[in-house]
Amino acid sequence: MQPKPILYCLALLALVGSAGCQKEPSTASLRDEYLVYTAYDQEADFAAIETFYLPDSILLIGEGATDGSGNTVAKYWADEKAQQLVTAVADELAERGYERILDGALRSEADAGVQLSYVEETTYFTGYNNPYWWSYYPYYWSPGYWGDWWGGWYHPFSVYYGYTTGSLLTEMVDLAVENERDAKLTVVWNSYISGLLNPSASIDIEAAEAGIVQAFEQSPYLKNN
Amino acid sequence: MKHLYIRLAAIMALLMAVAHPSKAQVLPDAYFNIDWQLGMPATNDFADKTSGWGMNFEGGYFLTDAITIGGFLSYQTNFKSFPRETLTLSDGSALTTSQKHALFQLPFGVAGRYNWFKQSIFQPYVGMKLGASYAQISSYYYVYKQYTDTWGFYLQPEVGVSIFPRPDMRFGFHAAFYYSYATNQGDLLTYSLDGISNFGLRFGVSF
Repeated sequence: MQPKPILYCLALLALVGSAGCQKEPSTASLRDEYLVYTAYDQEADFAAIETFYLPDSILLIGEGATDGSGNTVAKYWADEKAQQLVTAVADELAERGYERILDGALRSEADAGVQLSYVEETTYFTGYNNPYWWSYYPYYWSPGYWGDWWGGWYHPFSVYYGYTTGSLLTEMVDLAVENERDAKLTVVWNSYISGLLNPSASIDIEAAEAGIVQAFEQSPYLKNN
Repeated sequence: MKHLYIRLAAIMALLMAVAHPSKAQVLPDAYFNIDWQLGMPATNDFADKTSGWGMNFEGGYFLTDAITIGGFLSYQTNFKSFPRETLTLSDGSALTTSQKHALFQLPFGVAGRYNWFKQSIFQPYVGMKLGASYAQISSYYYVYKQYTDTWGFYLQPEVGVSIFPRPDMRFGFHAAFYYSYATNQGDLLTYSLDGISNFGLRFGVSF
């Protein structure tokens, strides 16, 4: 009886196909740990910064809030837990020789502004393919908050992370440059701390505080002294 | 690993079903090997843990009773875990995270062998494989995967034996030990790959 080469070839092809070449590692444990990414403008002179303004509220990126007229507006987080995180950032900046301006009316006179945002939901970003995805959130911090800036944001460095729920964003903007019409507001440093959701899907404050400490530790150029 | 064993068992069962051991060899003057492959990276620190996530497919033609020439395709994935560390990237940015690295290798090309004792139960050989090497180096961290694809030249000497309980039927088993070297180079995050070498074992069927 003659062998059946075609049958064998088909069997071989089936084997190759069924084997599933590339094996991926188990990543479940990686999702339980927070990640800290920082980037900065290498042309910025952080030693020249003397004062900073840091709002005592954290912008919540998500569904937004509704005002008395039924319009959707920005939603901020300002409870005790939020204050822990704001204080953690303020303390780290103070340790590096920067003086905090507390009077909101004087914020545009500070050398630097620092804004905190927490990603509660990522609904708005589905399908976005922009590295600075957070600035496309319709209720995101406005450059106008820091003074009369009309030209929008300017990021002189690249970022490499996508949007995930449970992420804390910190951006430092340069307010010391000359404020001219159509000038863009330059972001000179940012940090992205992700993986902050605890098992109940709320923020793990201890992890967030540890992440803030780590963000500054891996940014040794941030110092005035 | 459990799924790998199940997959191998399925492969063996399929082979037994289609091969009809009572008949002669599949093609006159030809051989085929399908092997499970255990790979041990020898020189790279990127992903150096021994892994059984590999297979080898090979076929050849007997030019003489001693010399065969044919082709091969194999693949292998190796891993390594990295605890949380801070990586300072080339643009000055910094990333603190835990990682798992994966090195996936897929060489293919020409295979040649010198065989002994073609009519006996144990048929040892020495061989050499030459070809192209595709390799992907990957870092998994948090919910992200970052990777680089690389290509290189592949060279792989080998010693092995085919075992045919009934040599006239040429359906039996195969075992081999090999060393491989590939010229793949690539960078990922703060890591660099400059050549890939492995020691490895293969066990499978021969027909």
